[in-house]
Amino acid sequence: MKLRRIISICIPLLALTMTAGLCFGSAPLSLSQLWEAATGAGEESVGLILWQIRLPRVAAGVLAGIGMSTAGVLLQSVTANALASPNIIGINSGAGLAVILTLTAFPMAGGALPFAAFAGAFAAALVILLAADRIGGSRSGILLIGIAVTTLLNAVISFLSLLDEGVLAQYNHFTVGSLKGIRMDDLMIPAVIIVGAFGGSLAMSGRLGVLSVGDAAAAALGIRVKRLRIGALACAAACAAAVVSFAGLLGFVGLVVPHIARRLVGQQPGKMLPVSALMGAILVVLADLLGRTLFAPSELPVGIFMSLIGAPYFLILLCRRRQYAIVS
Amino acid sequence: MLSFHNLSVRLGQRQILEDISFSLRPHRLTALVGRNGSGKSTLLACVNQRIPYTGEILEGEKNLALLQPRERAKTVAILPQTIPAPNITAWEMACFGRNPYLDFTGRLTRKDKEAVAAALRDAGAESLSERYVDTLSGGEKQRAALAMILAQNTPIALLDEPTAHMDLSHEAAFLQMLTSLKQKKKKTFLVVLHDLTVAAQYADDFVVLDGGRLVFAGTKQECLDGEILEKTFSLKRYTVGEEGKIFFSAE
Repeated sequence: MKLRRIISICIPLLALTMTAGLCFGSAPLSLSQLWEAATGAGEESVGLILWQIRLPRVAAGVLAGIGMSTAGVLLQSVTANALASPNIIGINSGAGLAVILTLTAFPMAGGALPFAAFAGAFAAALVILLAADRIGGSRSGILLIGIAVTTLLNAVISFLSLLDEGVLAQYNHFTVGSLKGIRMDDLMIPAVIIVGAFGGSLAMSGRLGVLSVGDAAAAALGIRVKRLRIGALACAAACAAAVVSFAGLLGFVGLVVPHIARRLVGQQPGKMLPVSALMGAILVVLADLLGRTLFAPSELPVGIFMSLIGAPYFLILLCRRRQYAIVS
Repeated sequence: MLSFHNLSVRLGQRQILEDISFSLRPHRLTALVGRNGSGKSTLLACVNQRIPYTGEILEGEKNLALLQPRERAKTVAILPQTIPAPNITAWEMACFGRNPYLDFTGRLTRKDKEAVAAALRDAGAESLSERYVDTLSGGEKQRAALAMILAQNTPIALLDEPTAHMDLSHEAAFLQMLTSLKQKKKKTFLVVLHDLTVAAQYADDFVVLDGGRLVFAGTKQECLDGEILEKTFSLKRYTVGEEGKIFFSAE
């Protein structure tokens, strides 16, 4: 399908999903109430629901979808492996370790968790970047380093979580991934990072596409392969770390959305990035909406809901097409 | 023209290439031949600046090691031995060849698109434009890859066993295409070839490597007259028919 056609379908779909996300919830709002609240003319309680609860949540969903799917596209492009995603190459585990360390050392510092998650994710990405730089930035090398870092970090996380059951409960909440209770203020810095990294990714997407013909051919075409790969990895890490800081570990988006985008527009990162960003945003906002409305008054965190609907769909996708594990 | 001066490559304890010096003649197809492990692909990797070496590789007066990657890519095109088959169209793959000429936005100008269309035409891959590379046969994929390096619009192209996965008829058609491009487009080709019979049929010049050393560099006639291939590969040469077609076979 042509890129413009997909985008022209995705944009109204995202607008529709966002509007639904703003309207539905424990206190449903009609479109007219929404309009009045948006223009400041409606009841104060409706305005509060819109500005303090629903809008931050929908905005968080959009940002999380863009950030994680962008990270997924970048990681899958630079490693030429369709299994690469932020939770597989250690970025999520870095965030997880930082959170559990914070919970263990400062049990009352719940407000510091997003910052800790960001720092942890970025530190893990930095370790991967430095190691990748040292071994020459080969695509399998990055993946193997990521797996080694993930294994090590997960071992430390398991050890720390065994020490304190209270910490374990809080950590589990973080790993599930949720958009509950997010404030607009929490999103400002992550939004700047995600938008910046997305722009950077788009700027390098043409050259990233050339990597699909292999490192030797790309180098012969004038690409600085190692520098490009490390630049893309840095953008992916920034996106994933920014999302983890406010939404927890939403790893699945980064894996499944690039797959769907690739089926629709092919393997070129320049086409995959905008399509993945839009589809990722739709998926997270929709999953969050369904998670909080289907079982109301109970709420299913977006991470769990996305895995419940996403994983079977992903399996169907894989079964429909053979040769899917490795891109090249 | 591309010339190699005292090129040596050492990886760990192994000397892969030792003191290699030769020049390519312009607008000729030079066959680079040698036994497995003789250093043919390593030589191409040196031109691509993928491995450290001592000595110099010059294009005219320009040292390739001192050129920016994009400038180098405007001078020499290289088609490596194995290229993955990505899920992109042959047109998109050929467009990669314009990478050295694109600005930071990566947008193809009308001139770039014309160059890509011409490259696909020259490589006989025009009909493959809209097809996905991962659905092409081995021969079709190589034609798409050839279009990519032709779109680079370089005077020199190095190809590492481009006919390795082709049947005899596709191999002949591919090499015939290179011969015609060399004349029409004034291109200089250095092609790594495994089949000496094929090499003797299509090459103008020979470069022969053995154990990382240069055994011979010169014209086909000199190579045949000196029985260089027979000695290096321990083969016997047969000349068949009135045209004097040459075949090589194990003794």
